[in-house]
Amino acid sequence: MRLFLGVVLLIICTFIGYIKSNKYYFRRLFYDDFLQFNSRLKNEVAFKQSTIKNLLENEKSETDFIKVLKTNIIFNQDLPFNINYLNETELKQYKDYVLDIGTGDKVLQMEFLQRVDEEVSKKQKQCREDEEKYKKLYVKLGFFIGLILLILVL
Amino acid sequence: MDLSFLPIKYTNAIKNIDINYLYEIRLRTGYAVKVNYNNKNAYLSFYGLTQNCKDAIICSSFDISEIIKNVTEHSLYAFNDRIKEGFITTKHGVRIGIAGECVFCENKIQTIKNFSSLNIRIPHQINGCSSGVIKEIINQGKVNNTLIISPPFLGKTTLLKDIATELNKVVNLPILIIDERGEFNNIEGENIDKITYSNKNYAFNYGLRSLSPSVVITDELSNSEDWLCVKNAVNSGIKIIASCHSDCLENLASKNCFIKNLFDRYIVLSNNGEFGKVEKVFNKELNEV
Repeated sequence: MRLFLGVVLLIICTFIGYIKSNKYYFRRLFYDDFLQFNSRLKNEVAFKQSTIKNLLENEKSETDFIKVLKTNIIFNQDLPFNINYLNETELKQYKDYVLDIGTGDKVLQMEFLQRVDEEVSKKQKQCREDEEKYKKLYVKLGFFIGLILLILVL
Repeated sequence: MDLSFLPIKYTNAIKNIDINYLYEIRLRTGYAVKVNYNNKNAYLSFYGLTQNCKDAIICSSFDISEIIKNVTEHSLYAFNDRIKEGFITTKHGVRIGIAGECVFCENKIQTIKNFSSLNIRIPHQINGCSSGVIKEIINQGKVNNTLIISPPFLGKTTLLKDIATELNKVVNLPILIIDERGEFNNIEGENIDKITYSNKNYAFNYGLRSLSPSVVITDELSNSEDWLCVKNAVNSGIKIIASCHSDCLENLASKNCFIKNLFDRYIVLSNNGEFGKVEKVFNKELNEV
């Protein structure tokens, strides 16, 4: 019975570690999407000049990044900026982006998107490194805590 | 007519009136919203029309931004060429004139920003409104070069749209519509080609070379360049149906840009408030027919 309880605790702790580590995975995914969308928008502004609404309507993905943009631009609703894995500064950066895209002529818009591209590229790189570093760490930490509990239970 | 680009309080108010008689909405930041309804001025209140300014909806800068945002689909960059010309057109052909701060660089307009007023012109398709003039345009199967003349707001574009539809049915000839402002969006047909949002100079050159039209329909000849484009086309044997701002033929003929003997028929629209109603028709020699 004690062994069973200990193993259950081990699994739960490892799982909690895994769940906690997901934050880094989602952050990386968010900035991947951010960068990808920004590059596509840059191409649209420079060449085809399709509207952002058109771009989003053709976007199949339903990630957090796209969902918020769609809510704001296609459905014209207030932005639900409650992405829990971003800190306040990151949320502000995202909110400013959503509110600022499409508000200038071609030249201004290209300058703006280029600047965003540089900032987000750095952020994405950081997120990739964090994911690699912390994802395994959290799972391992969860596992070790579970292991300690298992020993204690036994 | 789709006016969903307007803020909700405006669309709710418009639900209470007959949109077929709504010709224009004028929005000026900080002032009551004015409309032209059945050729009479009124204010737009939350419940429909009113003659009392105090009951009217007051337009805010937020309303104007929202309209611009909705029409441009959050993408000013995609509409900047049109904004520079002072207007944008919705997908359904509603033309919105814009007033704001012009930004110049090396004497060239770059954009207009901080929009302060909008003039929303609501187009109307009056089927059959050209029935009175079509016999002047098509004579024994041949199309006459025709110029429609009137001051603004008497239905030149509405008439041209109906003429295009009629010609498409009656004459089996390729028709090119040169639509500088996207107002012919809903005009289609098996004989109709359209060049949209291009100036006349480019559209005439490229359209005539690549699409070989027999008839060209275009709105508002406004300067010497436009008249010259028409002259070149007429000299190439292409028939032109166009419109022009002027209160009468005499005044138009006295303008520098006017070229004599270019059109076979001049149709002057009536000023009695009836859309597309013909007052007088003149021949090539400027004599009343």
